[in-house]
Amino acid sequence: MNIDCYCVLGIDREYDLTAVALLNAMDLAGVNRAVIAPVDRYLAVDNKVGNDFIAQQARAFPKRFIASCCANPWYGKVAIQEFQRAVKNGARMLVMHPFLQGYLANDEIIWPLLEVASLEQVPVYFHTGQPGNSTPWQLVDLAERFPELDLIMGHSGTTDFWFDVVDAAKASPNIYLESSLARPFSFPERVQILGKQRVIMGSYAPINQLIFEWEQMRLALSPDALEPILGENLRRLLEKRGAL
Amino acid sequence: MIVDAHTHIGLEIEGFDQQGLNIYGVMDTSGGEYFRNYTQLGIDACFTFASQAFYLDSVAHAENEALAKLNQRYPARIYAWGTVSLAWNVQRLRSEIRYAIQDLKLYGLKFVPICQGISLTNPGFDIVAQEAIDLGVPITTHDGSPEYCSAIQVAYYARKYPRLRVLSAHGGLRELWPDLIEAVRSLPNLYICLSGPTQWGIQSLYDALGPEKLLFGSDGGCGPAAITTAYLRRIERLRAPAAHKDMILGENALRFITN
Repeated sequence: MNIDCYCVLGIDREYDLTAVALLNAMDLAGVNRAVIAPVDRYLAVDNKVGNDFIAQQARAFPKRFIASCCANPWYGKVAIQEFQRAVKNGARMLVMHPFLQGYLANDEIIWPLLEVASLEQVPVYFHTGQPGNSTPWQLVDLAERFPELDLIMGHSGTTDFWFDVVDAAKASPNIYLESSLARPFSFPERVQILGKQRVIMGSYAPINQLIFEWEQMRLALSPDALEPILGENLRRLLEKRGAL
Repeated sequence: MIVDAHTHIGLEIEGFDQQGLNIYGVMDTSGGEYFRNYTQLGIDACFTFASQAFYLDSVAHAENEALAKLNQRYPARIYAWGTVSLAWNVQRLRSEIRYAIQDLKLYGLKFVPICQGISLTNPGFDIVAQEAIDLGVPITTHDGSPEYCSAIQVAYYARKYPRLRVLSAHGGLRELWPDLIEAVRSLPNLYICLSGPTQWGIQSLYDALGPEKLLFGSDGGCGPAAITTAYLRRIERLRAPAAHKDMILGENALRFITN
């Protein structure tokens, strides 16, 4: 099963992806399912509005879309409650964006939220690559603090932290590299060092064109790495709470 | 006519022995291989930059000379640019710039402040600007990388020197391209090479600015050909008339370099 780890659904100042357009692109690219995430506005504020929209879209296309959710840790207990509510509504992945949400990735402000995510067996996707706020080694700090939690390194530290990625992932077995924004040719070597179980395909549509990104990744990977990276690794994490 | 406005080459440098693989995990290419690869990709000409000198200022002089030889070997196909170290004293900085441009006939000066370890706001870049203006050549600099060369730092550098033609070498990379929109609109001397933004970023830059100041570039040459094909395909997929794509793919670069 091919699963795209990160597609942003909705129309807002920097996004314009509808469900129909996403499904069309998935069909053309041979992608069975996609994890859908809310637009930036809802990652930062109004988390509930974003989560409800994503849950509704996932319910409308239950065989194709998998809901993620967001909760800005600055909301404290309210963020935890919102995360738990979203999970009850079907969310299978928590999205954190330290730069947009305003904290350092390993700041103690997010620990309570991650504790709950760990208990709920929900993987956490971190947007990474923004200097200061969200770097691979900050993710390692979290991974060591929460060894039972699966952390997905969104964008694999792209752009300026691509040198850090392999050592960071080697340091923490519960970190997975997500491919969007990174250049596909960088992955064969990473797979060779880390193993094919540690890389996850994501397109970050519509920031990137889904079809193009999938084509590029398929060209870059060896045949034996396609199945795990293009879907099975992510499925394994998402199904810790039960079959999709 | 397709011109890749951002390539690097790993040439043999006198007095320097490259051991093993380069930062992309491949062996450096010879001039002949580099040229053959680009010909196969359908690229007619390249802006060609150094590779080692951005890490080792001690090889900058020799690498500039190697680039000059490449220029002579492939005239009108290779537009080689030199570099200098901003850590040098003022006298050496001025003299190396003049040597690179006047004696070696290089087309401009390329910088990677994040690798060279010096911010664009370092006084050395004032010397660079003065000399480049005087010699009538452009500069291009890596961008999109805080803290030494974010897109907006490049923009303010261009604003400080309105007579200096500045090519922002990665269009702000994945995250910082929005900083360039207003800057490029308001600064006649600032141009963008598109080797860096996402498809959305490239489209947004085009939609906001039109084609005139956008140059196709890949940052390829030292790594796999896929680096270059990916950016060629991004321009193919741009929602723009064919005439505008032709401008972005090559005409703008030629006008920029032969200005």
